[in-house]
Amino acid sequence: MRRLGRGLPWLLLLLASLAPLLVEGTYFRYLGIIVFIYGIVAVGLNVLAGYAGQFSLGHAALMAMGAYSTAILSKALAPLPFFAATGLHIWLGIVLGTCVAAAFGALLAFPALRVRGPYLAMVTIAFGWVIFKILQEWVSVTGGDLGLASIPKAQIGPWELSTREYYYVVLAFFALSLVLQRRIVESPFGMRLRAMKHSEIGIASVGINVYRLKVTVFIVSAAFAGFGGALFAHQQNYVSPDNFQFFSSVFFLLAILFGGAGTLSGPVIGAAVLTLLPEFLHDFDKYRLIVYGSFILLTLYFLPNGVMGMFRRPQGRATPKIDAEPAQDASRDMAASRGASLELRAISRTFGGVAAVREASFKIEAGAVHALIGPNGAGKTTIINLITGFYRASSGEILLDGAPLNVSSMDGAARLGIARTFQTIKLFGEMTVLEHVLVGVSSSSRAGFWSALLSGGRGGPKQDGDIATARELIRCVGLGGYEEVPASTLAYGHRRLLEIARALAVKPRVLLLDEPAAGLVAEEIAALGAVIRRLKNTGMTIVLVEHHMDLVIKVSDRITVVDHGTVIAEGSPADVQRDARVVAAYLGPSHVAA
Amino acid sequence: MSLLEVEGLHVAYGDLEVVKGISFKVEQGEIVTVLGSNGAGKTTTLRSLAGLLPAAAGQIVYDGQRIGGLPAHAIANMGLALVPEGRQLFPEHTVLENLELGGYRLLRAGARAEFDREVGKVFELFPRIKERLHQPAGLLSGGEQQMVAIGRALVSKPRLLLLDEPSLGLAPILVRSIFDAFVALRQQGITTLLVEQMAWIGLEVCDRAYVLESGVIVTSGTKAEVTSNARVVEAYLGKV
Repeated sequence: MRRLGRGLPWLLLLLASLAPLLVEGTYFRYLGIIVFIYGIVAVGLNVLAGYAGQFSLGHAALMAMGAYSTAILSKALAPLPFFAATGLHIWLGIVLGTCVAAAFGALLAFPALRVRGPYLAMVTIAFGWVIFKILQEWVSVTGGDLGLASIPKAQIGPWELSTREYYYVVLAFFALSLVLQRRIVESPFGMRLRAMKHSEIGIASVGINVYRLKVTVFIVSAAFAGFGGALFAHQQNYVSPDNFQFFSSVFFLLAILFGGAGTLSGPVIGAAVLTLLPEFLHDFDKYRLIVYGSFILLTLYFLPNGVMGMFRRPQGRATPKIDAEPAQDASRDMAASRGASLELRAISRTFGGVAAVREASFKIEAGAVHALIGPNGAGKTTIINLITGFYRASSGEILLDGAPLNVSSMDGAARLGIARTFQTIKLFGEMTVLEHVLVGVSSSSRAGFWSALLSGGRGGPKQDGDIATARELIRCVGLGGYEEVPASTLAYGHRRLLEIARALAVKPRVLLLDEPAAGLVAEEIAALGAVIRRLKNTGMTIVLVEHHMDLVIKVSDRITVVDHGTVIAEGSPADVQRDARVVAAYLGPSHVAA
Repeated sequence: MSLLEVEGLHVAYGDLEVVKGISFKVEQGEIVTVLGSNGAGKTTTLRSLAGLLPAAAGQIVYDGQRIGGLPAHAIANMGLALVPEGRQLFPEHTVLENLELGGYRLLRAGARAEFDREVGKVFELFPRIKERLHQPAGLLSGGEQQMVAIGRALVSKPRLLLLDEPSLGLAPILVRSIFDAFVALRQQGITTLLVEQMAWIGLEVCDRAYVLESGVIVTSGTKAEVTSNARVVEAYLGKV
């Protein structure tokens, strides 16, 4: 079934390459070209919406940028003898169109930094509308409603391409864009995109700048759209605003949803079926669109993940073999350097008049396990959020190794070596355990879009090394054997362990754990204790927020107790257990130290 | 007749079976605790009882009726309330609104006074919630959210309470008080099926317990029997 899913699109492409030999008639070739062009645009939208989860209903406008740019440039250059002889004006135009669209993609990314989901889709509709209106009204450049006519046909050297030849050229570009898509998706860059779709906070926590990632993926997606638009202009030899209406944008989104958003070959199926289907419905005459609409509706009703979504691996919890002994040397190259010290000086944070943290001051020694305990709502998580840059302090300062810590974002903190886990788990949906940790491991390599493109998706010594590191970290937290399991099917307590492995992937100097033992049973807590001690032995500083006192007592060097946002006690585990205020506020009578 | 009788329950995600034919009973007025490590199938079992996951095979009889296959809301209306793992509050709604959603059945029947009485009982249990009543639930600390989740189930006046790790994220002093509350609820006639990772306290408050491992029940018995089982002590109670 899966193999069929993989092979199907290539089979279709092969068929497409033979089609002109079997079917006569320019019209069918024309249809083919349209399918490929729409396919290229759909691939771009698939990367953006299907993988990165950023829905756009403005892609027709980006396509228009590509089409008009190449139309204007190639028309201007065509009369010059040099270009007439070399055909370079066509290809320069296509490159320009791609670049202009990419630039507008960056523009379109800005609303995406603030709004998401349906709101983002709304903003992109508005974007498409503005572009459409500009094309209509700026008559001196765009020709207004009449559009631009007599755009030069594509040519290679002095030879103008026939429809049949252009068919093959566009088919090749379509195949190329599918290869590109695969490279992007399977690279570390693509892995970040998929992770971002599920949790922006989660990827920020491993040091990835969400803003930059979003802008990049919009640019990449827009470039595909612009490229498709430019190819379109040289096919039609005529462009007008009507080619790039709102409905075209809907069409592209529908195509990837129909084919299967977030699958490699979804765009192939979607673009092909939705473009060709109306041609087979001529017999229905005026009922044509009703049949077309009903067909799409029924398909998505029965295959909610699209046609190719049906071939995806079934979600299921594997029954993994657990490694009995966690690798002892797994923590060997875990700490990048020695742990750092942290100092909070009179730090405060208020939320709308309510002080969550009030003038809290304490010092966390480098290389120590420092526990932070206190009643519910005492401000423990807020303190972690302040240290990791998730919140800005209202007043006071934090020192990292004696120097003022000035971070305003979690990814900034992570790059300084401050990593964390979350009390409310922030994992990346159905991505596997291994992929979760790889997102963290590869975040430091700064492997961006270009290296994804050049080095190819998988393989490469660098990535093999990353995988080995990730596997070691997974074993270290005791999840060995679960590597290929989708995180969404892990039991609750195991998800917490996975968050630790992901945090370790950024080679932290300070690791902040927010209730890591929640949801674990005694045996598992003991194993967690062993992991924490092993990490401490590497020199890492560990801040532990936890309610399981047996664990806290066993692993901590020092404990700070907070209540109502202030520090009420501090000392060694034994001191704190005897402190009357701590017993009254937090432990209750049953936990008094002997 | 038992309040809840489960016979040969199988639950699977796709091809993979997580609960492999378990049978157990909960008598009226009992507290029954289910122990087991992560991935043993405890949460899956509770979700299946509440109608959130279909059973692949087996029978669930609640109060003399077969409820297997009924939709979740129908089961909830029969007085079977689940406090889900990980809270699952409505974060943008206020604490009061979250409680009102829990008391949907009472409020729809126009029993505002009765609802207020139930909310009053929740305040007695968790005074902290009262202070936060008009704040969005998402702004509460993790432990406070857990209190609201338990409160939301209680205001529905359940007959059978399914608790999935109620101690999660609560300070030790509060863990004590909520488990005392469960014992008090038993005196009011509420039956409880409890999944709890803090095994010592889960065992302390229960009448009987089951131990689940890899989807099958490996040990069961009264509190005294299970507590004296050496293997259980080692794996779930830790060193006492």
